Amino acid sequence: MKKAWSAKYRRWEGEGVGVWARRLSIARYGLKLCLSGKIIKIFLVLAGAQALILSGVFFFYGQLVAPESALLDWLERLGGEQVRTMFSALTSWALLYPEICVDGIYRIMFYLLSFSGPFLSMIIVALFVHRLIANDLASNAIVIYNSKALTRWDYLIGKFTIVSSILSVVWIFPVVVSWLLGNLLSPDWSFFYHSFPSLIRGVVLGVIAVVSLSCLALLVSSLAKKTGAAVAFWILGWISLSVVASVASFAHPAFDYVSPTQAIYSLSAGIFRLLDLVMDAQGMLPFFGSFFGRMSDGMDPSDLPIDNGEVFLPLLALGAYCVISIAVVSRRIRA
Amino acid sequence: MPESFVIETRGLLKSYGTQTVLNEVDLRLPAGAIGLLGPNGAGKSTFIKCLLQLEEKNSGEVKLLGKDIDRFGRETRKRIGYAPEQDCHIPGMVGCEYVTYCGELSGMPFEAARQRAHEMLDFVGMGQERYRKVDTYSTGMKQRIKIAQALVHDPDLVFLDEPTNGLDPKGQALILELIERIWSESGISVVLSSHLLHDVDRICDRIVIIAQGQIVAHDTLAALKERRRPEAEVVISENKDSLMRLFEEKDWSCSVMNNGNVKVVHGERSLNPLIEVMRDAGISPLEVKESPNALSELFLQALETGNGKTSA
Repeated sequence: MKKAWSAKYRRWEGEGVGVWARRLSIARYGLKLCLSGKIIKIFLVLAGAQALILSGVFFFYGQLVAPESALLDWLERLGGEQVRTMFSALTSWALLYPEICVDGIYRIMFYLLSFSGPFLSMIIVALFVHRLIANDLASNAIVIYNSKALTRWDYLIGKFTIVSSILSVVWIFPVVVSWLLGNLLSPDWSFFYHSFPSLIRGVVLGVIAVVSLSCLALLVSSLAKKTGAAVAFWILGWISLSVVASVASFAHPAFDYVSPTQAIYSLSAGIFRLLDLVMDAQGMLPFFGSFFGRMSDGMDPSDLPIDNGEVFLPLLALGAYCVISIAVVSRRIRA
Repeated sequence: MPESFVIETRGLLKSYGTQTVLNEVDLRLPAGAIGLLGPNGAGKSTFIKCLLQLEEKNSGEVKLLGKDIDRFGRETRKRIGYAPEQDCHIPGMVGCEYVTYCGELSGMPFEAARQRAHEMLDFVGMGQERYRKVDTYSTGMKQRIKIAQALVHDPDLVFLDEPTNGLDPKGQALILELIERIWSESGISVVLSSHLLHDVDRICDRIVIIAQGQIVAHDTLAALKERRRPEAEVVISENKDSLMRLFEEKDWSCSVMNNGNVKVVHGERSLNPLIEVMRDAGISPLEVKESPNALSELFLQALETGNGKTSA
């Protein structure tokens, strides 16, 4: 102790790092803190497992349309000539209409994936939302951040990076990884090209969802002065907005987008535009034409049980949430 | 060569609603150990917070280390350390991790910050406690780690807000010794905010007294002490009455203090005439202290002046 106390002060003459390194330090320490629980890791593994499931689906589909794949041989042995004919047709369609048969499959799968996103996001964010800003406000650590070589925007960017990195595992990671794996395992690498539009749609939806939900998470975390309150605010906010939206939508359908979940679902439908896909399939592929014809008792697209979804209003709602969140959070984190 | 100032403020105004906390503060402070004195609620902490942009000022200019904080706030704070009055650790972090993190936030690379964190924890006298969570620290340890995080990035100016708060006398002495070493060993300017005169008197060579949001006195400690009435405290075991008579004969007002010592206002520039008078009379005091409570009296006088100013 005596020796430690008599330690001399030595000046530091090293080279400093830039502001982005400081922001990343906030993100790195924050991620370490947020991911310290076991339950959150389980949910993140579940979210990541979606990538494997999708990759498996894409792999099997790729094998089905490959002329000489082992899977096709096995199915043909199992089902005989009828199966052979059906899959030969599928292979031909895939070659003739890749925008329907390849891109369409990716589009449908990524669209289905978007249904799990809001639920997983709500659970995962609830597990760490109190560790974002509420912790710093409750412990006065915000004073330390503000007294260092940082502005409140640097702090916000650091915190935003934490949430967005975690939510990317739910929204963007499965899309990108399954697209990569699915195409790497596909019989024809032209699938990379044909499925690229679906990747873009999936990533666009993922980015919008990640950004808007991250802003909301920061807002909720900054409103709570006690760490426990942040979790309660997040869950109650999520549920109450859904209830309010569903009640208010009776007055006007646009009120449905008060709920971030509904806004994301609608945006997802608007981005993937499955009705357009079905219409194209109807027109190009006789098999699908008759199939959908039977489903809708006619050829009128409005009779089909799917729609293209709204883009503008949900995007406006999510954008408004982002603006409000940034405005409130930036005020709250002033020391 | 013009004198460089570590702190310069011009017309610094801060108010909360109708209450003015800092009233057009003009101040220029050169490098050194600076004591910011004032009673509780005088505006010391707000003054520091305005300098560091932790509080938004209403108007006025502030320059730290020669740079305008409105234009170069982030760059300036890179060269400044701050140990706030209240606890401000990040829950769940162990001591050395916390100081390393603070180093990184101040712009140090991770490896350098980690090495430097250990150096600073050695400097503030923390041993194996550094591997414990900060939440479990005693008040003294928390004060030390606050100083370590303020110094980790090797600033040129460090603000310490009430660093001896809540400490026992031994803890206070250790922290004061540490602060003294910051300026004397490294040349880092220290601004020590305190309402404890003893803390400031022991460490600082320049004093700023702030009251009701105004600077009521600002000078070097020596100059401020000179401004006081020349008085002394004579510690004597016998011949107290003779001594009192002797002083009265010289027209020096004197009184016996509660501790039994004799306080005398001698009106001379030094203690030499006083000592000569006692020597000629054959009185041998045990000790003669020059202006023993000068800072305390000066503080009270400044506060009175401040009150007068504000009421006027």
